[in-house]
Amino acid sequence: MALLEVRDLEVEFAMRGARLKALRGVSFDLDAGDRLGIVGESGAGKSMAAYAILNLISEPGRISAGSIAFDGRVLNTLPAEEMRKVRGDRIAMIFQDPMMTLNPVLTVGAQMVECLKTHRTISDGEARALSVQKLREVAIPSPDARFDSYPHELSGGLRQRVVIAIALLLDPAVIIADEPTTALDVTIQAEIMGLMLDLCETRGVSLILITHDIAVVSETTQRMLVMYAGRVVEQGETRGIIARPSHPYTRGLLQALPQRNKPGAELNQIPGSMPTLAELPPGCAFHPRCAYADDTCSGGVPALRTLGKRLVACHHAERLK
Amino acid sequence: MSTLQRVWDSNFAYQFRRDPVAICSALVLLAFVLAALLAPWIAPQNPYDPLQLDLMNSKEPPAFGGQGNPDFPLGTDDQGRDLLSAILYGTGISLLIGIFAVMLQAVIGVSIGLVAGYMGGRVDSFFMRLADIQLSLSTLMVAIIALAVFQAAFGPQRYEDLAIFMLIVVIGIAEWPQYARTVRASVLAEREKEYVDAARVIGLSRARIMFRHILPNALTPILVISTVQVANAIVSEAALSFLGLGMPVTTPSLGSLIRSGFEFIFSGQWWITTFPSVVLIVLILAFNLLGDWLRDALNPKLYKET
Amino acid sequence: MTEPLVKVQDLQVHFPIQVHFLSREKPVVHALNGVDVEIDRGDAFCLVGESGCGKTTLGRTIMGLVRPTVGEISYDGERISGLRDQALLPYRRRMQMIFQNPYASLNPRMTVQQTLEEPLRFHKSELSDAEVREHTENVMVSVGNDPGWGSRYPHEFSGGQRQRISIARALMVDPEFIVADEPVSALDVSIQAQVLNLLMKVRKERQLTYLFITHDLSVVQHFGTRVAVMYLGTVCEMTTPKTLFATPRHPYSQLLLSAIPKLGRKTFVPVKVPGEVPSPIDLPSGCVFHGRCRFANERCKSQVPELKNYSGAQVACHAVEEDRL
Repeated sequence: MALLEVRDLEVEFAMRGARLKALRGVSFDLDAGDRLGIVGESGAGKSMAAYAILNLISEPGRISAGSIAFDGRVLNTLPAEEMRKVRGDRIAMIFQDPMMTLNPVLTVGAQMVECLKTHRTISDGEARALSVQKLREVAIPSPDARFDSYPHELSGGLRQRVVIAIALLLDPAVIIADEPTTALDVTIQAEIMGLMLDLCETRGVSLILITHDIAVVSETTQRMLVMYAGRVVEQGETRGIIARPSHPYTRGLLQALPQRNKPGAELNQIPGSMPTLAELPPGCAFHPRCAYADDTCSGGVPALRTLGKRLVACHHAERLK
Repeated sequence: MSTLQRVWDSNFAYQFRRDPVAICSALVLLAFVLAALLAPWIAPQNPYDPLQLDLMNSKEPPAFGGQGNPDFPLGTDDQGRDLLSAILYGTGISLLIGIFAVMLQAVIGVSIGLVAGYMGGRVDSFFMRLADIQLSLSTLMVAIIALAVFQAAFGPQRYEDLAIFMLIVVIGIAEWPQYARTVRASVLAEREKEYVDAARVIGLSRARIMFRHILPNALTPILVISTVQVANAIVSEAALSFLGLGMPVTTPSLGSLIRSGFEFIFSGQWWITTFPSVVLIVLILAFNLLGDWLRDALNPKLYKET
Repeated sequence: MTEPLVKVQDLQVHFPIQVHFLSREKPVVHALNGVDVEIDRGDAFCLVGESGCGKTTLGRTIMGLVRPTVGEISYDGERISGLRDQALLPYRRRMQMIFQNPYASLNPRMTVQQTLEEPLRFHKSELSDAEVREHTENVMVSVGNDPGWGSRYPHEFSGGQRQRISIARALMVDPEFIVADEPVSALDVSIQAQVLNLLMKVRKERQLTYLFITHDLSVVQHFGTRVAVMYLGTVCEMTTPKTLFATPRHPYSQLLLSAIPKLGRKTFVPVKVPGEVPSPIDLPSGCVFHGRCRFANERCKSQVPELKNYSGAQVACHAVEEDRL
């Protein structure tokens, strides 16, 4: 049994009486030490998946179907109190904007100690020692001094390191990172990703990396999910998908990157834009933008089916080979 | 899609339809405005016309108690004036003063706030210190002093003619900083947005950028505070009238009606002061509830699209 | 060689920081510290660097949105820095700007038609209503927009559509020079390609000169004809994208290139950068990069390096000059 098992996860939002499905049929397994990437454009539902795993979906949204099992326990039916113990303790989350996680009026140390004391019985002295040690592990210079800094006194890169240190405080089994480096510069992104990979590898922590940047996912994860309009369109080994995508959308995304085009030539663009949840086209949500689309595509939603070593939701996946 | 259809479908209208408090307060306000506008046709008598008043009818109790005169549903005051008619006309005067005073506040405050926010620097400091000074003097204190001086200077007769105008000016001037501060705050936020840079890149003049580009985007908070400010202005007017510095008893507003009935409250004629008070309270409550709802409905932070 | 279209000489921009009005200190942010840049006609000149390096400030200063503290900007041989608003008007027609955030760069209270007409009516008031409408329609079609969008408001459009409307606005007055400040970084990958293609298409059709500000080196490689790498308000290397990607000379350019995630690279190659970007309030002495540079020596700490020519590239680095790399 995998460490984290997500099955047919579905999230629904009530908007003006109508029910919109923000997420449909997301299933995956995550083993201890695995690294999984979730890729998609804004509005594809990738962050929604992370929030759903942590049971953080709030009104007017709710998990309407499916199950999330962590270490054999079903999370989505846990009472709030129990869920709080899992969250932060066993599963930690890192957000895009460190200022969303860090409270601007408390020192870094106060927030770390508070986090420790919520989940563990620990003395002030021990909490401080442990926090400083974690700050040192994420390569923050002079961690003793930084313990007493306020978040605004730190640079963006240092702040994200602090967030990672807080996420590691309780030795979680899984870290969910939602666009952890999007707000950062490339050199800092490279450092932070390096740090996260290193920490995951040395401690056997599993990582779910949610990002719009396929290049980052291709460098850092073993398996990946590509999402489009709330559904998984392709799922499998990262290397294989990057090398030979089976879904027209994945392929379009990869070919649209400037790296995959001759300098100065016209980029292979995907026409149109992703539909909003309220205006989903019938059948496959991607068909209006797809070069392979025909009547079958507008007629029925393609199921996520096995094709070789991966899962694809496309009627015409064979034609891409 | 027609404009009407678009308005009906907007989130704003949708939230309104789903909020009974907002609907009720809007209906109450609409009823008051209609009643005040239609007063000359629906009121049983014209309370400003001395010829229609008969002292013999003075202090009649309300008709519903069973002992009053059915001609005067809410009773009469000490001059034999029908209270219902006086309230209908008085509501109109109160609303008139409230709305015009707020329009004056808005014109002064919005212009100053816009200039201060956009120009920044010394201009900004100057106007904002001026606003601080104005706010440190309470509205009523300024109004009492100003009105007392006017009353003494013009004499009671001439003052009665000018009372509405004076009240509008005094209440209007005393409260401009509310608008100036609100507008300045939203101008400071809007000024940093790229569409303002885009307008500057075109080469548009400062005035055009301020009024054509920034002002329309800073209007939402103005709308919100306006409802509350009208309520405040009506209360200020009522308070001044109650103190004898506002509308004269011959052309009474709600405040002066309350004042004129106040002296009889202990001699048993409770209705003269009670009914105008109830009307005033309901009116203010409706304004404030609507203002609260507007603030919530227009707050982009509370409402987020998924 | 002909005169460059835009010439920036020793440009310095300092912003005073608001401190308490009783405070004696008057700290300033050194956004630009002596930048020399020449943009030739027909160039797609890319400015690349990390946040806070001054690339946006340089673009805004050229557009006259920021006043230079020291230095001079010339456009087509004429000095335009320090001109009054009125005197600048003829140049406003010739240079336009495209902004980063498509959600903030269009006035939400104006219809698309009003937004597009405004620059045209302002600069060419002699045009009749019919002519204005016709021109608007032509520009809308040329950027791939439905001309029927005119009566709608910006919030009805997606990010990519809005960015195309912004591009249409910039093209309304038929400019010859466009500053594009991170025009695709707020957009999704599939939309980025659409907007980049559009920018390349209008450049070809209208013989535009671009100053393209970006943090994304892959866009530079694809799009640019020349590139300047900036760090802390100074230009460290200026060359063609091809040369930069083949042989980055400045240690900072090398660092930047090594940090881009590579598609399909099988393992993650960690990047080690000692230290943090110094604060632009207290600039380091000498070369601004010396604190983080592996090759720094005493000379780097005291003497500011100048841009010097090395076959095909201008580099500001003592180590390159002394061949210590």
